Amino acid sequence: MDNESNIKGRFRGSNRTISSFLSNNRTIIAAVAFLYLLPLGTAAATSPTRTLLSLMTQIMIFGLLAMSFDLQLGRSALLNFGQVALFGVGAYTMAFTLNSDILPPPFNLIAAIPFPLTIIVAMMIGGFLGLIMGLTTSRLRGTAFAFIALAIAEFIYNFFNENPAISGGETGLPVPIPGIIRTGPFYLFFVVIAFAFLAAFIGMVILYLKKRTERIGLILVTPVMVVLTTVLFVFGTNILGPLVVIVAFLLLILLYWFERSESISDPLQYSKTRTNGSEEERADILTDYMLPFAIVVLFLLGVGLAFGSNIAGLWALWAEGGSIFILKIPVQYYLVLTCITIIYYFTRRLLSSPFGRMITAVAQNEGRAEALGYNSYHAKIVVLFISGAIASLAGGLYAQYFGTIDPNSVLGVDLTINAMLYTIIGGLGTLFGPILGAGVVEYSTLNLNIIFQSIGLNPGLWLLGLGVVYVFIVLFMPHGIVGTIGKRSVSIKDKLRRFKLGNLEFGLKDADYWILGLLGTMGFFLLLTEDAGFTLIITGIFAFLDAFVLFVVYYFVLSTKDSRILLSITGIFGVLTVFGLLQMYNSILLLGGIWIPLLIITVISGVLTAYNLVLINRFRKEIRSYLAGGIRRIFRRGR
Amino acid sequence: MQRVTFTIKDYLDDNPRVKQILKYCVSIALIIGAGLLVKVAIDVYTWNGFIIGVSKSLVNGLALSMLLFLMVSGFFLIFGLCGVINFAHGAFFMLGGFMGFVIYLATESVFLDPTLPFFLIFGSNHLALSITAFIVSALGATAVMALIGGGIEFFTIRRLYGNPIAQILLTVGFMFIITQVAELIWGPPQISYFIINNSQISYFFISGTLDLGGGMIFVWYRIFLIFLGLSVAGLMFVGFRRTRIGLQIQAGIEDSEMVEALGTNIRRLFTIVFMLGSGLAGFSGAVLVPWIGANSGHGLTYLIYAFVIVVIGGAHYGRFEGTFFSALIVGLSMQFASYFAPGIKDVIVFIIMAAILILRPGGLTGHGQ
Repeated sequence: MDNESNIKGRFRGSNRTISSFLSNNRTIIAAVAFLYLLPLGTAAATSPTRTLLSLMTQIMIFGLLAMSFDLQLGRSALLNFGQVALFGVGAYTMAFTLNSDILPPPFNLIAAIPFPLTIIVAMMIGGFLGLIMGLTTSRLRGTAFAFIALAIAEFIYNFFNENPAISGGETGLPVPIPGIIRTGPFYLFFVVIAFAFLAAFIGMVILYLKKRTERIGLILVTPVMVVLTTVLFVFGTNILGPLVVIVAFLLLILLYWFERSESISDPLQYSKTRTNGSEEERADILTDYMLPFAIVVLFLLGVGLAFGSNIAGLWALWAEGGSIFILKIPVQYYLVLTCITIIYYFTRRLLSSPFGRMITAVAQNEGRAEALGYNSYHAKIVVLFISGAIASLAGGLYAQYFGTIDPNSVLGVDLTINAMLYTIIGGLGTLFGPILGAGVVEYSTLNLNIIFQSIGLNPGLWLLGLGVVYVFIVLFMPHGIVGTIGKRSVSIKDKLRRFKLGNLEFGLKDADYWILGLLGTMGFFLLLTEDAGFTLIITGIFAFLDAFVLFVVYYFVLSTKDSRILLSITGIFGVLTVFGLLQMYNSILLLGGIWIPLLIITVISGVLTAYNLVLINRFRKEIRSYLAGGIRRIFRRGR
Repeated sequence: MQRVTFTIKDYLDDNPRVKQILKYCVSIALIIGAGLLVKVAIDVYTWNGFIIGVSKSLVNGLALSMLLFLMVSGFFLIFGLCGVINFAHGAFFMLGGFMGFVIYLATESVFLDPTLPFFLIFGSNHLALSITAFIVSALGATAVMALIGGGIEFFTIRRLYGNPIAQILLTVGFMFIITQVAELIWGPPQISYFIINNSQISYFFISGTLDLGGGMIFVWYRIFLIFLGLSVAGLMFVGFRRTRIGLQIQAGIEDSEMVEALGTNIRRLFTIVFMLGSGLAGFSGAVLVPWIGANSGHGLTYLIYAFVIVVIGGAHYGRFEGTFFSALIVGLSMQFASYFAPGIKDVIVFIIMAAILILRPGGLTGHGQ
């Protein structure tokens, strides 16, 4: 498929490069577009999204730190016990550039640099510190490197600790929020980026549907549509926006049917419309240009309608008040998100380039790589420079986000241990794992005491709980979360490729996994918050899954006589319905006010429950015999 | 079997590396001495205070380094033989301190209880009572920590040999668990024998001083610690030279696969080494409590010292002598720095470590990889 699109790309010119870019990075685009969509829900008044956004910002900052650690340990086998020095140097550079009163006169000229540039300055300084760490030991191997880095980190910590005038000492150094973060145009700039990402996302969906013309393509895209519409429902300010988006989705389905009829209606005509050659390349104006264009415009219009009043409200607040506090959280979230997106994409490209392959080779077997003619010293120095810059960026973002830094919080040894834990929990050498690990650990750190309190334990036990979580993760997922899943993913993918339900063949390909990525991102959010709005989203997802299973049962299963499939389908269906009902109950408890989505979900869940009962009633004989057989089998095994 | 006479000169001739280490030590001592002379030249009028400072920091440094050696040799054994970077070792040390404290109080109350027959053993001889209770507490802490360490190895780490990254995560998890349990039970503030009112030990054994006149006052307990540490170190040294299992452990540190091929059950050896290592950590923790107290925050601090000492001594394929000398360097330099150069007392250890690692990347005794 890729080869084919490359060949086509030569004929079609530049617009094919955009489409190949979209098709090659489906998961990233989908997840990032969703992340960019979230802060649009922040209104001028206080809204529950703010807590979520600040938690996310925190996670992403530590995720950047863990990513730089992973680049060293996972990709080039450099165990760095002095990682925190890179982070702290970035944080202090940011503090010094934002406040001209700290440093003595000749040095405070650094504060003349305007804010977004200071991020680059901090990255440069961190990179050079990484370079120094690398240059101090000529061989850069194993423990010697780790401990010289630790020594450097301790020198820096001690320097700042002994000079409270420039480091703030025990009380901490206040870092002013850069003025540009509170301005409207800066916010609007990020909103424009968000819309660009949304356009890329919907374009990616269109391209995907045009290629995936089997029945399963639509089935897979449907949950994404449902979830996005529900997000707009919950966070949007009016009902018009989601309706326009629904129209866009209906147009998407229409496009899908056109493509489908084109590809399978007349098998004999297949070669005519789908050739690789240029002579019969039929440009269908409707499906190639008009419908996609209409879908993109309608989708963006719908999102704009849903969040327009929020954006306008924030802009108006800035225009009236000059500089306001309320823009701080979404803009900082956007800033950190943009940084992490750029860094993630850059690192991914770097690691898949020939240079990245060389780094991996050096990490796996240095002697052999050197024998093959690679300069391992050079590779490690470059990796140290890059990861130092990334860690320093994380430090700079930390300083301007938290507003106060002290030597213990940005230069303490425990931060290095934390970075190591994030990396190992997420999975070493997986690049996405560290961010996930940072999310898991940060979330547990913030919420374990609440969880303990709710189940009647001493809330002071949270660190103990965290330790137990580590022990269990390491015993059952020895390669980290992403690493272990990645190791097993070959067999899982193979199973999914051959997965069948009744007459329906799923046959998941590699190209389909962006949907899982997007749904996983959303699920991560559901984990992160107990927000009432997200309860509605999860209710929507469960209602949709109910409907989907209903669809599958209705079309494909009732025709078979295999009681096992029937039973498992009915079981899944029942569990989903129970979840849906529980969620409905939750949402009634949490928000009595929003009645329209509540009513819709109630009706859907009620109908599904009734249908489930009917289904169970109809198959009661099969279910009973199956259960009896199972119990008999258990007893026989016991004997 | 031939009768072997042990003279220091023969030993040095057999071990050129130890000779080299001694050279290093002497050169470092000369450097420190030169610095001190400069210091003296700057302020001659404090000559009196200088002597006091040197002698005090010498005694304190020797005592600290002996106990650090006991703790770190456990860490070194576990790292050298099993290849596990035991992040929970500092926590073992800290928990050993608490265990010694608790066992001491329990033993003392048993002996002091007039309703029990044990009361008759010592009667009102509180000095003998407190010394006995102290010995019981040190041995008890060793046994408890050895059991905990062996249990951790047997049930969890045993599954993870060959996956060093997972071992790091596991031991960090145990560090958190142990630290948190200690903090839950005993609370965050520092605990020492001095704040327990009915404790007999503080009056007779720990706060006793040796007064040589002219401000040269030494705490008896620290002098005792030097000899205790030296004797345990000597016992270990002889044990590793003379017993079968000690030789197996030493050979395993050099090449564990070869030892396994020669018919040793290396897994059993791993468990024994884990028990020995954590027992040593518990022992040094329990013995050090009267000096530095017991605090749940000690875990991380002493973990870093353990790292530094092991790395200076030679982590990969290193030897005991290296650990011993590096513990001496670290303990003495810490105490001397805190008397004479308080500005760098937190980083002096790291300066020395960086210097040694730049000169010899493998540490004092380790191979240069």
